[in-house]
Amino acid sequence: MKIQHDAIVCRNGEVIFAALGDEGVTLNVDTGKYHYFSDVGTRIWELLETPASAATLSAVLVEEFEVDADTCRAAVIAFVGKLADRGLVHVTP
Amino acid sequence: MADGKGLVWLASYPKSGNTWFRMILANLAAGPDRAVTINEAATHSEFAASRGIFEAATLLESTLLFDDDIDALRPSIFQDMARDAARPVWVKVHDAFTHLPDGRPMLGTSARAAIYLIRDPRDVAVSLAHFNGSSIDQAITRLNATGSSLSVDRFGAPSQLRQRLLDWSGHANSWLDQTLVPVLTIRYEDLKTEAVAGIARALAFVGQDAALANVERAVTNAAFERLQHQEAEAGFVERGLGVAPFFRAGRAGAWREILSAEQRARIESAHAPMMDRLGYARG
Amino acid sequence: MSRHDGALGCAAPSASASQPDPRTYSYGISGLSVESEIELLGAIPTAPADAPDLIVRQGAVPDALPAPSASGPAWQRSGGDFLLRVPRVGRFMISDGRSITVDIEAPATTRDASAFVLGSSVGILLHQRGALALHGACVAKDGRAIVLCGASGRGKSTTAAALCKRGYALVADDISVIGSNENDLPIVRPDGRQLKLWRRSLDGLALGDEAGDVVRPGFEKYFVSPPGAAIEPPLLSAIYVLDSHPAVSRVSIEHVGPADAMRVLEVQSYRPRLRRELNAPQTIVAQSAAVLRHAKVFTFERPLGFDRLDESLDALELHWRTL
Repeated sequence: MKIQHDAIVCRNGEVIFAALGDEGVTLNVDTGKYHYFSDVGTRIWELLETPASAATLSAVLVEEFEVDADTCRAAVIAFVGKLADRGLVHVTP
Repeated sequence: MADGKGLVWLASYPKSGNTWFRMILANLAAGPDRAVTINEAATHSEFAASRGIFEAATLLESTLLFDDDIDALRPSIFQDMARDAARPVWVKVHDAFTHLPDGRPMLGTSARAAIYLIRDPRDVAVSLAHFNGSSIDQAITRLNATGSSLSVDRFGAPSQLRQRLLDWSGHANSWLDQTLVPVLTIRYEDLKTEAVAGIARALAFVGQDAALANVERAVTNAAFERLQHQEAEAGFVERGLGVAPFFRAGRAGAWREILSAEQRARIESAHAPMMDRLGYARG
Repeated sequence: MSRHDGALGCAAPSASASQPDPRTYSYGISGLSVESEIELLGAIPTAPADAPDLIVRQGAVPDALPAPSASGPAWQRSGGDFLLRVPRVGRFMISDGRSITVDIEAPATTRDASAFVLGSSVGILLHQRGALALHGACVAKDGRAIVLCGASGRGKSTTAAALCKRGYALVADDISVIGSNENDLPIVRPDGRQLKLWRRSLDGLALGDEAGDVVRPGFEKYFVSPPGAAIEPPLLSAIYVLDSHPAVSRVSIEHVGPADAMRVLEVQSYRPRLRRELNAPQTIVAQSAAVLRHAKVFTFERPLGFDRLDESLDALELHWRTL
């Protein structure tokens, strides 16, 4: 799914997250599927404890990881799109 | 009805085209964008004699139960599978359609339909010999013995549950003459000459919609040469213990070049009525 | 043998530790102290505990539960009660993670029932107690263990037996419970039982002389006493998922990534559906993640045949040593 940078992203409540060091895994209870999250993905998941837009997420990540703003935003949009495809987050609109 | 929900038996005596049929079904289910490998396809459909299915459903260790006690529990397993099927669930089965001592059919009564695949017993004998790594005479003995079963190994842990086969004719009779599950018979030889038509007829019979173009593509992706090639590259999980590959020859009528006159006579004299019924000319 | 001579009395366990009932047997199984009215074949007798975690008794078990919340072909569940019906053996009631009641159907005997107490019933009980119980054998050396999982008949016990011949200690034959120690590191709890091997494996491993009693009358599966069974729960270093079929020509060991490893731990549990029935998804995920923080998961594919076993085990040992 291609999402807009200002769309609001929130976690699907039926997803369980577990940390494995800096990385993590999620279980989507509805589908029964597990997904691996890298350290960046895990940080994004943590930040999604409160619903946020891709723009907001990028802004935080740019500070924490050594990456330029445009690359970061594109990567976040792509990542959140994948999360949406897997049913791990809801995106509005 | 056209969504085909429910349990469908894909029944056959061993070495009669069951695996090839399932390869086609797996390719059909995968959709237009990909061809499925033989090892992926092997897991696409369920298997009636799977220990895993039995143990998951009953929570009991199947290797410490007597075969007859296992059989007594199998009808409930299949009833539950049929009830819970949210889509067409094809189940490969080599068991003959037998009844338990209390009269219940061992395979239950809840399947929506059965496709019975049958092949010339003379070709089956040749194929069996290669698969098991036995002589043709031994294979014919098994074909002719009413007490034949698959997977009976008391000294090891066979990977499948015991499957009662009866003899080749008895197996066919048990499926064709039962009236509990609607059954369509398809000859392996007819499938070889007109696979698309045969598969389409089977799908229509069990109430599963499929566009002809999709069936054509699935049949092409599961062409014998392709299956052979994949096995040569990566092996095939369903291979038997003989040295021959699983996808060995796949021809109809090869028995003429292989069986002696005596071997042919052993088969024909034991199975004349069923061979006549199905159009397998003798002599 | 844990029989105590001298005391007369009924079958109910005695409250006083100084007057033990003559007809109870004591064991330590997967971290639980067990007191049983019937002899559990293949379980290694221990000294009795003051307050056993699990009591196994003979008694009446109904044919059905009044209002089961879930059921299958041979079982029903209602709250903390779990009823198991084993054809021509008897009925088993597993309750609240604390007791197993066995109602034997003649002509079956306690020897038939024993196999289903130690297998299915204890497995169900462990799930009632929220344990992480894998369906696999476990061996250890120098306090570090590997668990060998895989489908029935894929060679878990045979591989474990062959490793024991090479000097590893047996920790578990069939059900490997993963707990954690005071440092939150995963450990494996010994199942307190002997190895079980089919006749073919006994012969293939030249262990025929070690064969003891049959696991169940009428079946060619035997208890085998392994040398040096582990007592202290060792640390879990890895889980190997065994697979083998006629088309495998050489050994191959592959690392399993985190998401797939979570799935492996689910699938390789003892009776996964039951674990899900009795435990919340949050618990299951948390338990599996706790294991994967410290232990790795691999697939271990090897060619069939006892003649190829040594080379497979050489590869496994080398792989484990270099973890």
